[in-house]
Amino acid sequence: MVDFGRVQKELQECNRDINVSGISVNPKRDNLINLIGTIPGPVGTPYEGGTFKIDIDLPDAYPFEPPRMKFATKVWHPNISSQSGAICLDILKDQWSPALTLKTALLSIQALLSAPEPDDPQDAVVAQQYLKDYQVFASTARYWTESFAKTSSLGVEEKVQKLVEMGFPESLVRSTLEVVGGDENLALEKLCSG
Amino acid sequence: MASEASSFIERLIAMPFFTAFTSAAPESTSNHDSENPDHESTIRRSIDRIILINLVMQGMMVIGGSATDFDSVLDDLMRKEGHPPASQASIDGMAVMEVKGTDEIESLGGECVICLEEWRVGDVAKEMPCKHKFHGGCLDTWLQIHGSCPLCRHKMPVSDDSDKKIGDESGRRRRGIWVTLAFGNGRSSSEAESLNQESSVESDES
Repeated sequence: MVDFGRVQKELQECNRDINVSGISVNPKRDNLINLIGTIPGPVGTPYEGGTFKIDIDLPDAYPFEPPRMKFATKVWHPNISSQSGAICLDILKDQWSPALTLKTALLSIQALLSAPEPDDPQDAVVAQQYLKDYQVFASTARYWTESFAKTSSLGVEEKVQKLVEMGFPESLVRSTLEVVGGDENLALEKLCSG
Repeated sequence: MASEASSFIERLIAMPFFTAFTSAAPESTSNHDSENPDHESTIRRSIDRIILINLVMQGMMVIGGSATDFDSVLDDLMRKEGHPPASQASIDGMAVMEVKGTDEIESLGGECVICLEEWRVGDVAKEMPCKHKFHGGCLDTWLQIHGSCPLCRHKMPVSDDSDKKIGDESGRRRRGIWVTLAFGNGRSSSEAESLNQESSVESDES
């Protein structure tokens, strides 16, 4: 049985300092077993500027067993499968400890983005490229970040800007867009009707 | 893709010995096997999966199935590794203290890091040999799965059942298992996984 009290606490704590860490965890549906984590791509890496979503499933024995995490956003990295998003990280496997949390695990994944370990690869093709031709690797990783980790967030920013220019307050624009699921026409309708 | 396939074949040829068992189950759900609700069901669900284990090279190969299925099989395989459970004697031998007042709560430092509940008067705290303290119940549950300190990974003596070489780490060696996988259906890919496994097999390495 998952310790829901602990999960609840973790979510609160993680989302409290989201402005500092940029890391968030939220329920995917109406339960506390299927979650979605978000990490910003580390500055100074090919992942910079991207927002990466991580699928999180909590096993029954959580926190005594590690959370199952994999990238929902496609990413080009030696330790992450470019096909399935599976992550090769020891703390998500045999090195898990119940003193770790969803947030610390996501921080570790963020650190993995900064410091790939091509000698312990998850994706052999990416790892080969990383070792043999770093420049090609970096530009591929950057291209994947542009293509898969930015589109939605860029789109949202554009919509926000458009609506703010129409004279609506930014915070209201953002919350309205969120409510209507990002549809700018619906958001405009809602904003106009007050 | 072509290079992936060829590297897969290279590995296939490079491995001299295989223990192979196939598990081919029809996709139709009419053939439910309720008599076997065990761990094999993960494998049974997939079609034409072949698992090849190379005893000499300590390699394993899975052919067929979907990436998701494979990941979950591999995941379950890996998450069971790690330091073996602590011996019951070492769990029973730990110092136990009852939280009696605010001074003790302060010295314990906020919360039990396993359940994240704040310490309260009346709680039972257990102290590991490394001096780290947790709720008695929380710590017992963890040590029965992995006998290491959640905070500093201090290793507890392991139980007799899980390992014959109590407290002797030198006789063990870490093995890497290479897993290569290829998919059918005209679409193929290969992934390499390095899986470190604590081995309790006696070896002449020291």
